[in-house]
Amino acid sequence: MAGDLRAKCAIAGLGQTAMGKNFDHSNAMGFAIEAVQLALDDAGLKRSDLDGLLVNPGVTWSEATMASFSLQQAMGLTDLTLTATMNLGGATAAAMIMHAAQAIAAGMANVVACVFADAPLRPPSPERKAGGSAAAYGFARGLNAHYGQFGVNAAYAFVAQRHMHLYGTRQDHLGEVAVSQRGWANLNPAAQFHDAPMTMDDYNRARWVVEPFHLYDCCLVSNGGLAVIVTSAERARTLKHPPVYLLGMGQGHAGGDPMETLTSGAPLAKKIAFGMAGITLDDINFAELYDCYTFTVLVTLEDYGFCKKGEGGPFLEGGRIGPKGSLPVNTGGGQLSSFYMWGMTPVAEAIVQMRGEAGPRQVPKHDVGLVSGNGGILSTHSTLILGAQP
Amino acid sequence: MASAEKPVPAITPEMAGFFEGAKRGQLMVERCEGCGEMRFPPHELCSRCLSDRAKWVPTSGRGEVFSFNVMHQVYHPGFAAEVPYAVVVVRLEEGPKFVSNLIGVQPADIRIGMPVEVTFERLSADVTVPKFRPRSRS
Repeated sequence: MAGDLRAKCAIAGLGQTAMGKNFDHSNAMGFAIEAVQLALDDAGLKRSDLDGLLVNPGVTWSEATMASFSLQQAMGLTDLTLTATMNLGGATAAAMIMHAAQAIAAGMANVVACVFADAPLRPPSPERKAGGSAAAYGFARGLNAHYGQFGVNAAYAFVAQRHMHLYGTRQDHLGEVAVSQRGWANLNPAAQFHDAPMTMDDYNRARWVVEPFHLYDCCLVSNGGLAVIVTSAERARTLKHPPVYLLGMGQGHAGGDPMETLTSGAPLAKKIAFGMAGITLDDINFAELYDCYTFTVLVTLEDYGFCKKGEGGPFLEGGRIGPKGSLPVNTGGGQLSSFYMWGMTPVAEAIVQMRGEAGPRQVPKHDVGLVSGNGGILSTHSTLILGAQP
Repeated sequence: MASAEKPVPAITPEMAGFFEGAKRGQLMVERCEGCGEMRFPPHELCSRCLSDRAKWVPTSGRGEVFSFNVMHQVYHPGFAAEVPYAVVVVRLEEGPKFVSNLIGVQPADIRIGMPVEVTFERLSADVTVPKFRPRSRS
């Protein structure tokens, strides 16, 4: 029974390094170590309390195939009973937390750190010049490169264009997501765009990356590390912070062609997670939804049933998900306006909100929060339902 | 930099049949010999019936625009003089989707559902690539 895991485990620690153009460490491992130490301090635990370590390496880990073992050795952790290097793209963070909770509930581990870190940004260097010769573009092979189809932005754009065509979704609807989340970021001192307000005109005037995506439809790039500590609900109650209970968890990976389905795995994951938590959509006080693009938020809102399929655009009108709206979504600014730590961005913000530590951006009611992770192009999906009470 | 060429696709073993067809003026896809499913790009196994037998077959070369984007960033110097340019997804009458370029249509005039047909561009003695152009609906 899925219900057996309801509130059995909790998040007891959150460790977040400075984000963005942070050059404190020369590689992802350095950020990972700092994040785990911060999370342990936050929970009031010691390194020796850890017996589980799950790692989602970002794109720049040098030994990504066994990242969790590399990190274990680098931190001098001994006698672990659970470890794994996991990768479901943006769905990994919530999936790591599920895996930790399953192991803890089964008595196979007690205190598990779940970690994401990446360091794609390099300090500015006068020797490195922009551009380069065509010979340097080793990635440009195959037919797609001949047609000029490069990168994930361009492939995601195909999916967004289909949604706009089929349902009449407009550019302004994508803009609503960008502007609303920027409004939240302006209330979050840790956000990379904290000091940069943005209007719909600003959004529309920003350069195109690939139509239909303007610059601010696309997520940030960040250096940093983020870790959470998962333990049993019982143990969490003895630690420094009020536990953030794991009420529900689920995954959904629908397969197929996202240009055809225009749907994430959220409906599958929701069924399991909401069933476990014993809640409905009306119980959700706030949502932290994976936002590699504005469009992803729009689709995810549809797929959880906040509105009907195809009605995500009109649903967003009038700043509904912004700081003055009726449904608080991505309340720290999300990956579009705060920082990009894959699925850890929504997880971290949800913890801060559940604890009531969000300062000027604190949502008034924070008993039940929804967190989503999404990887690839609507390819993988994970759901967490967090609760302030068991 | 301004004179940089677009990347020329390499003829890999799994794509050999495709490029042989293109040289003859045929747009090829793989057809599974197990269940008849048509697919592109080629795969070792059919994702529907898991058969490992397939052969290249010519298509009608006709289809319609299924989706598109307009690229504004220069990811490769060969496109520096072309931005903004459109990349289209064409759904062939036979089913498979094909990423390509649309010739003779400005990006702002591209519409999903536009009927298109294949045309070929010879890049070298060995490499000919398919592109698409509008066709009248028939």
